[in-house]
Amino acid sequence: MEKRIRIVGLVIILLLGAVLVQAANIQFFQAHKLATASANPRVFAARQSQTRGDILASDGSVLAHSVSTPTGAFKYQRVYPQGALFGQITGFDSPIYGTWGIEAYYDSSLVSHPQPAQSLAQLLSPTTSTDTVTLTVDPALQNLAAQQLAGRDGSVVALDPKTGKIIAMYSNPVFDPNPLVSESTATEKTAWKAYQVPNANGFNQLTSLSFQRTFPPGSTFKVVTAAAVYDERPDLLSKSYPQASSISIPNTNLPLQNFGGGTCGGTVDQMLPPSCDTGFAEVGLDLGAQALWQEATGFGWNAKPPLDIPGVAVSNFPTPAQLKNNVPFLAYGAIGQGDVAATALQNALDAAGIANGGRIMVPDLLQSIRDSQGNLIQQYAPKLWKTATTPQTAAAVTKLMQRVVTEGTAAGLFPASADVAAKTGTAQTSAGNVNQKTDDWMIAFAPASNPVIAIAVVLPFQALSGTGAEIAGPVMKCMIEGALARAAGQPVSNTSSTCSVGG
Amino acid sequence: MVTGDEKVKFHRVLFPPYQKIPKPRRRTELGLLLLVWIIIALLYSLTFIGSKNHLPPHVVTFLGILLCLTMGIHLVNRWLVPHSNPVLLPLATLLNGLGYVEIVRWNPPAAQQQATWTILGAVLYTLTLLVVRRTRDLDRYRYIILVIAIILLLSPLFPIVGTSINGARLWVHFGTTLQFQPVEIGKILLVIFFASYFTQKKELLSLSTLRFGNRLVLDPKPLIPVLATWGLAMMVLGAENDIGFAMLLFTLFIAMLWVATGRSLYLLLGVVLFAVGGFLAIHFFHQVNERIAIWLNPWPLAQGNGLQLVQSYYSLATGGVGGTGLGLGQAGLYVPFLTSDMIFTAVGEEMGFMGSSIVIIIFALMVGAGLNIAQRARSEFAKLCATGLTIIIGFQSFFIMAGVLRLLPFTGITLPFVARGGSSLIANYVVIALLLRISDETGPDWITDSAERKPAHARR
Repeated sequence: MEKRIRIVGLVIILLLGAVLVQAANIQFFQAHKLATASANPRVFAARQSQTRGDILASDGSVLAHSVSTPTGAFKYQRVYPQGALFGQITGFDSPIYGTWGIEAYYDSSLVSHPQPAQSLAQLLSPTTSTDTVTLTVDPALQNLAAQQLAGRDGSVVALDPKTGKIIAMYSNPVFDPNPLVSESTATEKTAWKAYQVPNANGFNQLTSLSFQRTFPPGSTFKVVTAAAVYDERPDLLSKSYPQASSISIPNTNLPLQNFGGGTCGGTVDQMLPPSCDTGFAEVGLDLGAQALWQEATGFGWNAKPPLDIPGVAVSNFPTPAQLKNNVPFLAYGAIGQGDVAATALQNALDAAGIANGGRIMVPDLLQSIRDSQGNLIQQYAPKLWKTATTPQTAAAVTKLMQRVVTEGTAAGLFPASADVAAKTGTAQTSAGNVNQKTDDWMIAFAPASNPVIAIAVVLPFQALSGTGAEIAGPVMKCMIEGALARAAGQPVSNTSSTCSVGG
Repeated sequence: MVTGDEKVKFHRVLFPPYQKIPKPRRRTELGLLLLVWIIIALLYSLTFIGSKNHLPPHVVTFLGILLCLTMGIHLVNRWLVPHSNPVLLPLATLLNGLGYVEIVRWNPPAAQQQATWTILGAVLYTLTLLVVRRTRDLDRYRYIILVIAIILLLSPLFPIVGTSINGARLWVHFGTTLQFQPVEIGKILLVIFFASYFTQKKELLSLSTLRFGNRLVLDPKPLIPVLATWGLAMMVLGAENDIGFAMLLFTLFIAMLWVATGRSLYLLLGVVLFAVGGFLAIHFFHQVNERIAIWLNPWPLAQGNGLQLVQSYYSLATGGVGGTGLGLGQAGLYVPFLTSDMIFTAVGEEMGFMGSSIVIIIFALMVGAGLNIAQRARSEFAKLCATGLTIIIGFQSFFIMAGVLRLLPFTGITLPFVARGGSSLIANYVVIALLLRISDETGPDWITDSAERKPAHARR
C-alpha cells in the first residue's frame, strides 16, 4: 500500500507540474502577445487613460483633440470641434468601434508613445508623449464645398496637382464623429446604428462618396480617351468621324445615342468640347480595348490611390480580356459608361495628371507630424505616383479642356477672364434598361497655364434632365474661385456673390 | 444514576487534559504560523496601499484577530494533536490568507463573510478534533456515515431548502442568508466510508474468488454497494449539474479502490467508466457540451460563454512573470466570478507567475505532507483515509487550476482554502483536522523514528 500511495503522490505532483508549465506558458511565453492584444480590455483602458495627439487643419485650426475630464468615465475625452465637416477625414477613435480615418492611419503618432531619449535621465526613465498631426486640408475650402453641395448627396475633391496635397475633400452624407467617442455606450451604439442606415439613394453616412464609392464617370472619361488617342494612335487625330445622332455598334441591337439626341461629329479635337458621345464611342472602338485600358491604368485606374487614409476604393476600367467578348462595352467604356466606375478622388487625379504635365503625384492628407516640443518629425515630400502621359499630350488635352469652358458644354459657366480647363460628365444610371437618373460630374483645374488646383465634383442620382454642367457646374465654379482666392492668400468670401454663404 | 466520579470521567472524555510534555513539532508549527502571519499582514497592507493609497482601516484590529485565530488553533493543536505534522496547518492558513486578500480587494462584503466562515472553520476544526479522538472511531460508524453522506448529497434536490445557483443545483439554504454546499462535507464522509469499506473488504476486492471456466475471476458481490454508491453520487451530481464534484468523487473512488487493493483492473475500469460517463454527459447535459466547446476554443466565444476564460487569460498574461503588483490588477473589472471560480486568476494577475507558481507549490507541499501522514499511519484504515483526504486536496486544486488554465474543461469547483465560499472553507479545515488526527497517532518523532517504528518496518 505504501508503494501505491507514493505513486498517487507522484501522479498528483506530475499533474500540478503540468499546471505549473501551463501557467508559465500563459504568463511568460504568451504573456506579451496576450497582454498587448487589442481585445484585451486593459489595452483600451490604457488608451483611454492617456491623452492623444491633436489633428490640425492646414491653417492650424483643431480638427481633433483630447480634453481632460476629471469627472468623466475616461480620463480624456476625444473631441472633434468641427463635427461632421471633417468626419470622413478625421474618422474617430471609438471605445467600441475602434479607429477610422486619420485617427487610424496615424494612430501610432497620435497615441502616447515613448520618446527617444535626449539625456541620460530620459534613457533611465523614458518619457511618453503624443505627436501632433497637421493635415493639408483647408477648412475654408472644406466649408465652401459643404455649402455648395447644400446637403445634396455628392462629393468635392480638390487637390494641388503639383504636390498631390488634398486641399478639400468633402462628401454628403456625412457623419459627426463625436457621438462615436461618447463615454456613453448607448450613445455610441445608437449613432453607429444610425450612421449605417442607407438614405434614399442607398448611401450611408459612414461611407465617403469621395474615396470609398465609385460612380460611372460619364464624359469626364473622354479626357482619358482623348489622351489615349494622342499617346497611342496619333493617326486617328486627323480622322473625321461622321455627323450622327446615333450609331449602331457591333454585337448589339441597341443604338448608342447622343445625350439629348443631338447630332455631332468631326475630329477628336472638335468632338471633345461639345462632348460627342457617338464620335468618342467610335474613337474607343478604333483605339481598341488594350490601348484604352493601358491609358486608364496609366492614370491610376485599377490601382488603389495611395492616399493616407483607410478604405480607399479602386476605380475600375475593364481589362482587355473582359472587353474582348463585349465590344459594346468598349464603345460605352470610351465615354465613361458600361463597367467604368470612378471615385471622385480618381477623377480629380485625372484632372491633376493633365494639369501637371502628365505626372500624377501621390495624393496626400498629411502636412507634417510634430512632437510635443514642436520638433518636426515628418514632413510630407511630394512623390510621383503615375506618369499618365507625356507633357505634349497633357498640353494638347489642356487646350481641349479650355475649349470646354469657352465654347463647349461648360460655356458661360465661368467669366470670360477665367483661365479654367474643365470637362463635364453626365453619366446615365439605368435600372432594368430604363434610364432613371444621372450622375452629374465636372472635373477642372485652374489656372490652365499654371495650375494650382484640380477639382472633381460629383452629384449622383440627379434628375434625368440634369447635366454635369448644370448641376455640378455651379459647385465647380465656386470651388475654383474659392481655391484661387485661397491660393492668392485671400479669404474665400472674396468671390462672386453667387458663391457666398448659403448661395 | 450518574455519580460524581462518572461526571468527572465524562468531562475528561469530552475535554482531555493538557499534556505537559515536549512538543518539538508544535514549536516548528508556531514558527511557521508566525511567518505566515507576517506574510498575510504584508499582503493585506500592500493590497490596500496599491489599490487605495492608504493602509487598510482597522488594520491593527484585523491583524490582532488573525493572530488570535492562528494562535488559538495552534493551542488547540498543542492540546489535542501535539505530535501531528507541523506544516499542514501553516500552509492552509497561508492559502486562506492569500485568498482573503484578493477577496477583500474585489468583493469587500464577501470578505466579511469569508472572515466569518474562517472563524467558523476554526471552530469546526476544533470540534472535529474533540469529537474524533481516535481515527478508528470513524471506522465504527461506516454505514451511518454513508447514510449521512447520501442525505447530504441529495439534500440540494429537496424542495424548500434546495437552491440552484448558476445552473448548478448544489446548494441548500436556510433562511435567505445562510447557504451551504452539502457536497463539500459529503466528500469527506465518502472518503471515510470508502476507506472503511475497502479496508474491511480488501481480500474480497483484491482476490479472485469466483471460478469462471478454468479461470478465477473477481467476485462481483462486494462491488455492488460500491458501484451503487458511485452510481448514486453520479446520478445526484448529474441532476445537480455539477461536473467538478462528479469528476472529483469519481477520481477519489477509483484511486482509493486501487490504493486499497492494488489491482490495476480497477484503474482500467475507471478509465472505461469515465469515458462512458463523459460520453453520456456530453450528449445529455447541455452544460457539459458547452464547457467542452469553450475548452477546445474559447476565442470565438470571447463575447459569450468563453468570456470568463478569455478574460482570465488576458489577466494572467497581463500579470506576466512579476505580476501587476498587489492592488494594481484589473481582473475584477473584466472576469466574472473572480473571487469564487477564478481566484487563481486574481492571484496570478497581481502576483504574476511567481504568485501562481507559489500557489501550485503550496498545494504540492500539502499533498506531500498528506501522503507522508498516510505512509506513516498506523492502520490500513488510517492510511487509506489519509490518502483519500489528500487526494481531495490534490485533485480539487488540480481540477480548478487546470480548468482556469484550459488544461481541462472548466469546472466550477472551488480552489481549496483560497476561493470564496464558506462550505468549502469549513470542509477543508475539517480535512486538515482529520489528517492531523491521523498524523498525531503516529506518535512523537523520537518514538516514531526509533523504537516503535522499527517493528512496523519489520512487519512490512
